[in-house]
Amino acid sequence: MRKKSLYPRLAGQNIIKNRRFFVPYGLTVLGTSAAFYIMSALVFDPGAKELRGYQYVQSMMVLGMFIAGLFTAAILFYTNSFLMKQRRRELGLYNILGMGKGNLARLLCYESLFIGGGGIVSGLLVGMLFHKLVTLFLYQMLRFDVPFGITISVPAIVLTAVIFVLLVLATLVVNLLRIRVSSPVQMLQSTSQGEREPRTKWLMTLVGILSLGAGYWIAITADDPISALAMYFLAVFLVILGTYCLFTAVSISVLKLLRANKKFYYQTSHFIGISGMLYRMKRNAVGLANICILSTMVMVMVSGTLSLYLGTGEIIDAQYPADVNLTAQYDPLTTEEGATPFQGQPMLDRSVRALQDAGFAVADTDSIRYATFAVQQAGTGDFLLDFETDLGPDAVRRTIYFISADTYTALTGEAAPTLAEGEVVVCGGESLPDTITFRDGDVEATYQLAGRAAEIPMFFWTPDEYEPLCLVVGSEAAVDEAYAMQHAAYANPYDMYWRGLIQIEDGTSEADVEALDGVFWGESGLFAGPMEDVGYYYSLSVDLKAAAEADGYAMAGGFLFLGIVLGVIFLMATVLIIYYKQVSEGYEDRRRFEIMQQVGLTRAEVRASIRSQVLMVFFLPIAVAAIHILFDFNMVVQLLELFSLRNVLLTALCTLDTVLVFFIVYGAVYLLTARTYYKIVS
Amino acid sequence: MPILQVSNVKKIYTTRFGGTQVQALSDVTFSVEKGEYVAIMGESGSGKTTLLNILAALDKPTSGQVLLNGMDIVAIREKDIAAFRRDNLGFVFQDFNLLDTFSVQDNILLPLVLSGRPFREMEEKLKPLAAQLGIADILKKYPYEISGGQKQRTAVARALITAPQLVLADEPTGALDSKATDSLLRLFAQINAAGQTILMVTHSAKAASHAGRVLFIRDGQVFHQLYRGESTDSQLYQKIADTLTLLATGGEAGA
Repeated sequence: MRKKSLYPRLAGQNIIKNRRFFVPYGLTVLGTSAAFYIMSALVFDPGAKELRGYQYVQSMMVLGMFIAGLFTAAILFYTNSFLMKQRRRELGLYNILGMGKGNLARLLCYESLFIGGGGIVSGLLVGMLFHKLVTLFLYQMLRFDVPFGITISVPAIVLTAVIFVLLVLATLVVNLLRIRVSSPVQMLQSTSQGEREPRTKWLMTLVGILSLGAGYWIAITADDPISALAMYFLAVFLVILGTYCLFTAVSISVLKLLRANKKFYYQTSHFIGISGMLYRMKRNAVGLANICILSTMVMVMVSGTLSLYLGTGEIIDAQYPADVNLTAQYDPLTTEEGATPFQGQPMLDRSVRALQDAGFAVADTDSIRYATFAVQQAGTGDFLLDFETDLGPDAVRRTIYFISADTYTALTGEAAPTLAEGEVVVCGGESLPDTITFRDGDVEATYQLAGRAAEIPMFFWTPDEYEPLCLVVGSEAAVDEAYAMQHAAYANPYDMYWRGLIQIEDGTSEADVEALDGVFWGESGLFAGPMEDVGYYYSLSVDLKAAAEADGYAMAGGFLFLGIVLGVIFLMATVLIIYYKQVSEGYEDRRRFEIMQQVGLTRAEVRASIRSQVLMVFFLPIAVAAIHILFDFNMVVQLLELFSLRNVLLTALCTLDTVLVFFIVYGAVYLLTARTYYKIVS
Repeated sequence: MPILQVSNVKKIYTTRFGGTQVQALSDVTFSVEKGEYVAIMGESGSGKTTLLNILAALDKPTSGQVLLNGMDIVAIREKDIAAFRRDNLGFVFQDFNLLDTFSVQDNILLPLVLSGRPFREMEEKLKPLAAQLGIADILKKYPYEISGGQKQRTAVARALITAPQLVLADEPTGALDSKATDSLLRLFAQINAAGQTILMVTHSAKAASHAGRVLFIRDGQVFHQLYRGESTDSQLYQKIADTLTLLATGGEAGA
């Protein structure tokens, strides 16, 4: 009986003895399995199907689970390999003292069972505990009504348990294989192998500088959302490559250059600092690059999703100026046999009547029209209504908008400029010559620039690679003329747009979406009846602000939530890497610390020199991460424009706050781990 | 005046909560003249290492006085001790204590860099010393690339480069093979012949037989001493061996 309990007892003792290494490992299992449980519980939540927009959250959580799963596997293997490296001596000793490899394997199995099993079980418990809290937080973000009662998701428990047991088993198998192939003497000696001096890698240094420079260059020169999206992953790849080279090769090259300068090198503080850093950089380069990249990811993810979430209201307001937005696309010049072209007013009147019949009090209505079409820019103010003519690869394509002075007033609330026939006003700050020409073969129209007007809230702009240009003309008739001009020039002319805006008294909310839908699309709704009186149109759509808000907040909230969850997991990994780094270096530095004192360095000097090196190793990665963020900022702004968010100030504030919070958390982690480090060293 | 004067040094270690007391040195008195080569011998636990730590100002005696060149090293203030050690003492350890982050050259120059000397002076001192110790062509190498004997020569060079009053050697041959041991002992004799005062702690009779005088420590006090006089290394070795036998069989001093 006693013999049977030997292994579990020994395994337990080992865990307690090596708690410096085992506890963080167990906490990693605990934290990641808790996070995984919560995400899968959110995916499996049966009640949530009823909620509008929840499918966004679910699909994002599935994505999050994939990323978290892969990432967890990576951290567990990393921490496990670190743990085993530190313990090889101990295991070698057991081997020499008469434990066969089979016995060692049994010991390791028990250890895995205790630490892995304990981690998973307590992770599930913590996950269940926090699941409710997270649901409350998430629903708040998504603007859902918060359900009552505690739920425990059985499928989530099973999924989490299966995945994590497999992960722990995989690490165990790796450890067993490693034991099988190494001899006890090897195991005993492995921690005291000599450390070679790092070689200068000029090629890698060059590659690092070039790819980092190229990545930064792409990021700061991106000037429209579409190309930013296209280039984003290339830029990310280049910066990641550059970061690895920066830490592994560039840092060592720089340190070696410093060392080659004898006058500089042979000074007390530089001497110890440079050689110490050289040694540390070689051992830690990859770990530091990992920390740097993880930190950058966390900060980009959280700041981007935070800006998107906080900007959602603004985006919706810009895209949906009214509670009910009607959009018609039509051709005023050609219609089917016998039909009249589309008329806005009857459509608006019918909609208002239908809404009033359904019990909605209409507060205000408005309608606008605009002609829009694309052109090639042959020169400043010289536009070609023709895409056949090849103006070379750098040809600029523009989307032109023509609105009347009345529409301008309706959109901006500012006084309409008085314009004569053939005069235009340009919106925004673009510089144009006094005469603007549109031409294509026999069609040619010129406009005189009569001044400039305020930028208008172009809610109808869709982001594309064509830069928009908005021109205000004197009358609706002039808008029709502009339309006729492109109609004559293009074989497939562009449509005329009409927009009807209906404000409901006291606004609308998600609760009204169904009723509003019914007004237009229901069985006895507006579109179910005859539509002849509104004339002939190509398309007619109704957009509800309340529905857009519900979807928008569900999506942005889901993004933010995913950003935060992955951010927390990445941060956990960062903390773990830092911790193990500190502990392993502590043991090595203890020896150097002693020697330095014997040779005649004071305690205070040794402390100061080690502290400055540790600080540098610690804060270098996030300093570089902060620089990455700085260069990436333009890219993030461009990408957020894809979601129609154009509030640079908001994005800047979110980024700043995220970076600040991250620095504070990182600093706190430093203080905690540095304590362990100094305890080991002194 | 002797270069080193140790009078009535006593060291008692007390456990943390004042429970048990261990007397490492009970009453040690001896002196070393300038240019002398003294070996201190004793078994493990005889107090050798405690004595060396006190001489190195790494530890303070419970009572007694240590004068180096007339200066009381027990009275040196804590913050001046490192500088004092750097300028007046040179150390050679059993396990070399080289820093693996530095090349051989930088390990040797370490004490000079710590005292903030200009690089030209370092170079001037390094060249002849490296030539004398036969390590001129491994200066660019790193500790893990060289042999034990070469490591110990590097450590000796580091100890000598500040031209210290006294070189303290703690079992310098302990980690060396017999060939490297012979060569190191010859080197010590050479350095001593050039005027350097050396105090070596060892339990190797062979190492001690190269010294000019051998002190034996037992139970925390100087138990006996031998002068080389006119004897050769092997004659001195014989005397040392006899004394050690006597010590081991529990004889009394002066017998």
